[in-house]
Amino acid sequence: MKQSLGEFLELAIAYVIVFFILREWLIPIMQLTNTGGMHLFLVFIGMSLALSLFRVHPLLSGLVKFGYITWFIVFTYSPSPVLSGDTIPFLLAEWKGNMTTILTGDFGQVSDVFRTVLFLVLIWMLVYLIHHWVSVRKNIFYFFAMTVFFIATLDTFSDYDGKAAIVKVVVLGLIMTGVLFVKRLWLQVETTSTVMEKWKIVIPMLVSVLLVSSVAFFLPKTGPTWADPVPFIQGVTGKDGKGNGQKSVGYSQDDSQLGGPFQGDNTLIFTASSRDRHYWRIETKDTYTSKGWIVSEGNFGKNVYESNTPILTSLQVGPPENERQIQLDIAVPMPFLIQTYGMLSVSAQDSTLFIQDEQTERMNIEQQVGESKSLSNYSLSYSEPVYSMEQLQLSYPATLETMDSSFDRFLQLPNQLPQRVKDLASEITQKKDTVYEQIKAVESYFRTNGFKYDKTQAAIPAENQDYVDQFLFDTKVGYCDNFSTSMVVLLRSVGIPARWVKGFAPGTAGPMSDGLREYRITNDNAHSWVEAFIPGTGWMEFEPTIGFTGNVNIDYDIPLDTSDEEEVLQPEQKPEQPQPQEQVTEKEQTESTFSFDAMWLWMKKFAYVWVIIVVLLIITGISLFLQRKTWIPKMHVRAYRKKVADWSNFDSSYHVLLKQLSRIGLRRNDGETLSAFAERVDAALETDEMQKLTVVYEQHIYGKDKEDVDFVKLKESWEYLINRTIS
Amino acid sequence: MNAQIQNVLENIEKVMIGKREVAELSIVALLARGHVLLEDVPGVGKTMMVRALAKSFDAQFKRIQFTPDLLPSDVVGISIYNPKTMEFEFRPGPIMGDVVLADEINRTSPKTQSALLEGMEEASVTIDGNTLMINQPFFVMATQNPIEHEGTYPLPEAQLDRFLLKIKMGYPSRGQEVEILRRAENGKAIEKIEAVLSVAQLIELQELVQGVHVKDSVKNYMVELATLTRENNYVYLGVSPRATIALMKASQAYAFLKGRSYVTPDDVQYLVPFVFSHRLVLKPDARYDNVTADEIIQRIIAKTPVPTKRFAEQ
Repeated sequence: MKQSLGEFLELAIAYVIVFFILREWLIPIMQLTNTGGMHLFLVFIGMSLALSLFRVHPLLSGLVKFGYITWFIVFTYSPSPVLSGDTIPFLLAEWKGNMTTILTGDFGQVSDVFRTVLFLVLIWMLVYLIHHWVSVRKNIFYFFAMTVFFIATLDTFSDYDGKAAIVKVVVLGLIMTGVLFVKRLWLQVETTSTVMEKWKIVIPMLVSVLLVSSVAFFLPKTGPTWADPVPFIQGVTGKDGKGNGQKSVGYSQDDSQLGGPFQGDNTLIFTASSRDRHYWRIETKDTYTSKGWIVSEGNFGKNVYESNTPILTSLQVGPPENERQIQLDIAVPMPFLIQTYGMLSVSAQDSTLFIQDEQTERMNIEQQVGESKSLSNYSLSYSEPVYSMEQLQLSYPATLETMDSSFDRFLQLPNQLPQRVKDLASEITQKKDTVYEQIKAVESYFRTNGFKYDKTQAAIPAENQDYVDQFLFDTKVGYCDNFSTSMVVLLRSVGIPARWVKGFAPGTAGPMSDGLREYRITNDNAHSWVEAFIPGTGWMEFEPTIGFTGNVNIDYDIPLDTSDEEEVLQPEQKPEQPQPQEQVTEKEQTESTFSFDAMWLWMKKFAYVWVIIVVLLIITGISLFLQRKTWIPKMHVRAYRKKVADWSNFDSSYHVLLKQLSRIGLRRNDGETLSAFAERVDAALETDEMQKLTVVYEQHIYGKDKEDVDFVKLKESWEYLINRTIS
Repeated sequence: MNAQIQNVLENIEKVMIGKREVAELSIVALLARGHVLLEDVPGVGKTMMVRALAKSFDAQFKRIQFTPDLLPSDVVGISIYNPKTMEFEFRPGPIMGDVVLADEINRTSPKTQSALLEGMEEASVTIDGNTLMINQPFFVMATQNPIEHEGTYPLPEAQLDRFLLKIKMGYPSRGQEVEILRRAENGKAIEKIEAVLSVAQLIELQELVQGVHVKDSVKNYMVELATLTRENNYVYLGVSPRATIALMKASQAYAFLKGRSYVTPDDVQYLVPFVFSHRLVLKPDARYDNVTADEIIQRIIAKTPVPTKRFAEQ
């Protein structure tokens, strides 16, 4: 295909614009990756564009580019000058080295030389793509839009300032899009165009683009309407982390310095065969140091239990008839017992002593007193505790005043705890009538106030900074330790006794067999949570950590699960119960005093939902309406396929066809006969099927006797026509 | 297309070049037992057409050249005293033929004209108090010179109503005319054509045409068209119900000619100008606005909804 000079010039202009847009791509990349030699890259881009502009033979063009890349590398990276004796060995060595790295899968280890080559090849491909867009598709809009997006993104999230670049790109891109549009238009009308005619379109286009851009440029602009996302994003990418030490997830006994990122570790710790999910409890801690947890001073006794003897803890147990077994297989030896809620006794093979520390409730496994050992397997018997909601609702804060002094250690707070933590605690619990509700309020506080679960983002408090204060007010990002510690501190601030519990989350459940599931608990499941004391009920566990939903069933399904079999169950026994009950009463009230106002209020409450639904409906409606010439006929085709081929269906299908034709602009005039119309339709659709159908239809409506007709063939014609109208 | 009529048309085309439509319309009129008014200048082949038609059916062909001094008796016939038998003997006039060409009908006196037209309408003539039936088939093709001459007697509207169709012959195209010349070199083609249908067969066809089905919806359509001519602002006098009947009969014949057993709105639309245009009496306004009867009819057709449903909506 021979190009005219005019076409060549047009293409040349387009390529110059593309060159400048590509330059805008290159600048931030160079800036952000600290790459030098931008002019060399620009030369490469220019060269590639020129080669495709002049339609150089692909082989030759490839050779030239390849040569340039080689020269580029040698010039930039080789110490010796180009074409000296060292060039070839240098290239070979680079090639060999990088190939080895790639083949071994060490993609991160490739050299700068290789990266540069890859980048240049990428540019090569990009130029080819652009060439395709410009000269074949004649549509550069995607590229243009991507460029704007690219620069906008970089401007927002990096140090790169794209203010000028974006204006340049928009102006250039609009001009380019306009020019190519004119080109496309020209191809469609297929007129022998004079240059002047083209300019008549192009010049107003140019003027309007420049006018629009300059108006937009000089118009006053408001600031961003939402908060700068950069801190958030930086938070995610880890630039802002104050912590510098990596910690490994897992169970450790020293909790005096909390904070800092965690690294995942999926080493299997133990497996448990159990009917229910459990939180695996190991020990509790009572003293918060504003950096972490330690054990308080004081005299506490130790209890010694043997295998199969009832164990007493401060925790509740369920009714004895619900006793069940858990078989634990320990993979990593631990000198202490893994307990569960509602634990009744432990059974181990040989003579083993379980030494319970009354302070932490940790149970060391010992061969004899003072000689620790570890077991590879043992079983726990337990009965899940059932908490009475009635009791919980009777836990009035006033009763907290009368607690005896043994609870003091669960109310301990560091002296330097900032006042704002206490204020926050009062604020959260202010309007709650019972202790239980207060605890629930604190527990759910984290879920709604912009907190984020992240193992790698937890900060380490500075010298004179409180761990909880930092988390609650500054970072709001952390993992279980942050949430559980904060909850304990908040509870203690309002006088609710609380302690910090360590152990493991329920782990990953396997398939159910024989009524048991196998739970695999790895180091990643190491967890901490909260136990709070509720007057009248006792200690209860709470899970403040967010993001722990999903694979882990954290909360109160323990009482829920037992409830089904609990024959003597009181209706308000389960902690989950109050909400449904409240809803029921609420509903009853609304029903009894039903009025428009109530209805209106209810609707108003979900105003945004309604708005969204209505908008969606409208959008769906509009798009369905706009697309009707596509989907309606398809539905008809489907419908008529099922119908019997007879005169009455033929009649209605013919009218469907007439309607569909009118949708695509082939409308029969009042005075136009069907056959005249059919002729017109066939001319427009380049078929003769409409006339075939119409002859039969006319016979049907004007004739006296019905003749035998091949309906199958008519149906085919009909479907063909319908499909023609869609395509 | 009906095969027998196809033969007739082919036969006619042996002598008439490029006048297929006129031939078809003539046959339509013949099949519908109507008569045709041909309006055109002399020498375009009107006589040839009628003769070819007549010969194709093996029908008797008669021609009357109308002149201002032609008397009715010259048309219908006259009783002449025969001295031998001492009785008046009836000599039938040219109207007693099967196919009659009445040339330049507007050049004769209204008296003579009405003699012809009465014969056309009633298919009988009254002479000396005796009514004589004219044998079927009876087909009159009258021609009329459109150029206004001195001493012509334009046919009154009531008379025009008796013609089923008014057709314009038109000049042949250049190519056609060359072909006419070429054939003229080879002597008279008209002498060579032979009958393809007998008169009896023609009558049979005429019977069949009457059986062509016209749906009520199509009848309504015809009536609607006729009604609109009466309501049109440019029209002083719209078409009569006779015209509507004519339209239906012509449509039946046309549908038959096209090989169909039912009339479609296409047939109607095609024939309306030929059936209606000579029956309309326009107001002077039309002339000022330069609107012809044909244009008015086309407008009416364009705005009258064509029935496209199985059952008429009324």
